Amino acid sequence: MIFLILFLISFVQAQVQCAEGVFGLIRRIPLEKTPTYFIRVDTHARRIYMSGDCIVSLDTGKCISNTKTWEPYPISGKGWLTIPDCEGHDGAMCFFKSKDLESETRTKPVFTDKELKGYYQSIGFLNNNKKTSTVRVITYYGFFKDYRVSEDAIQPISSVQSFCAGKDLKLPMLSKDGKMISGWDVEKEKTFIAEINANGSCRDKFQFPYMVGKMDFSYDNRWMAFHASSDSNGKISDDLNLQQQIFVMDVKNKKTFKISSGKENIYYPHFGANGKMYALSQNRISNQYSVLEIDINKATQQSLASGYACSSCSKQQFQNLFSNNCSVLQKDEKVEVVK
Amino acid sequence: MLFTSTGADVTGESYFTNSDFERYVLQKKNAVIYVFSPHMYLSVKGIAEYKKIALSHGFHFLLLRDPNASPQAPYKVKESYHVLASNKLVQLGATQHYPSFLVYTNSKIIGLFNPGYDSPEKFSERLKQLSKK
Repeated sequence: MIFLILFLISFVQAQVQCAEGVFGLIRRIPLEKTPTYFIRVDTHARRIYMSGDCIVSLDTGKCISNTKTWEPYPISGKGWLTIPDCEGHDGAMCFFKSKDLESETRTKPVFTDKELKGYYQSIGFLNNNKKTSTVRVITYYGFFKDYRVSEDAIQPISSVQSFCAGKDLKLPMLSKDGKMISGWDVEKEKTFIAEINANGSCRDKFQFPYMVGKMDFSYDNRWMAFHASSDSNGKISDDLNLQQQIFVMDVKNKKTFKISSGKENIYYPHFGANGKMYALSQNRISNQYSVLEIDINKATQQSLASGYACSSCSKQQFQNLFSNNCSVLQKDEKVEVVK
Repeated sequence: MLFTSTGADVTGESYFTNSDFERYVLQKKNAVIYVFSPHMYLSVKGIAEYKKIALSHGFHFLLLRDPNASPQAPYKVKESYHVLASNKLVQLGATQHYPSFLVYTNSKIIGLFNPGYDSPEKFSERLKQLSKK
């Protein structure tokens, strides 16, 4: 009888947890326009950037400007926006003043670097002072370059160099302090996190045996967020019910936490300089998109309390964690619940 | 010519299921399976580039669409495609990023999808290497 009661309690808990949707959710910002998938949040400027013709208010989700941008990535806190391959500068990295672009007072870049080619740029602050900072910009071609940045000017301070030479990597993402890099190792077919030195050489920190979406580091380097796909059955069938949910890994101790579950797709997480995490959500029935603002500390605590976490997860544990069957982790003894 | 898949949704878009995948691999010994999303510009840009390169190296080219794409997605494509509906392909990593591509030879699937856009030169080089295997 006692076992039956305990089973029923755990079953009910699992249902409640599944219904909860997103751990640590602070607010939902409905988007006025159907977005492209990469969102980049600048919490200083209170903007959400994405490709297209809509610069979005982080407060309202509405378009503040209809300026056309493509793959914009802000240098948060400095008022700059990087755009690769900008019109008329094939293959170059272009630097715009965010406010100029938004108000359309100046739609041409203030500075164009024809030396730094490639897309999928990400940015790390090698030092971040109030007046002047040093930032490193990397692109997926495997190149990086350093710049001195103030609110008024941007100046290259290094030549273009390659990083992680010899590694066939995809989806590289630089940490916000410019000291770590994550990506997909094509040859080994593993997701990796490496330390990146001043000269661009990389030293593997750890790997995990599962392909995930593009990762993003928090500003304090403690967390790394990503999405992963699964189908609802988690088994071979002709019915595809693709779900994408977000996960967070503690970079230091390699604990992985499931942050979202349920019927919505939650994907493309990105950290703000304010310590909060942001992610895109798609209601698959109404086809409405929102940006979610998430308290990362609450989210990981709630995930942990619900048993939605594993430490140095094996491939099987990742599969269980990524599964959309909410009760899997509750029932599967193989998953180590982090204490 | 577009591969004939077995199912279609209410909008008339054809779905590409596990059984279609199995059939396709048997019918087309060497192919590039390319998954794009109309939410991701580079994945749309890459369609014509990759198709041209794949065909020039003697590979068939199968174009599949992100199954979660919105009808209001910002980028349109001219080419014919199927909607990805095979969870075998999902398990091979087809939906973690767009574009993603899988190359197979002699009807044998080796490895996982390769996520993210490669330059045409890099993609061409990958196909050359795989052709030698």
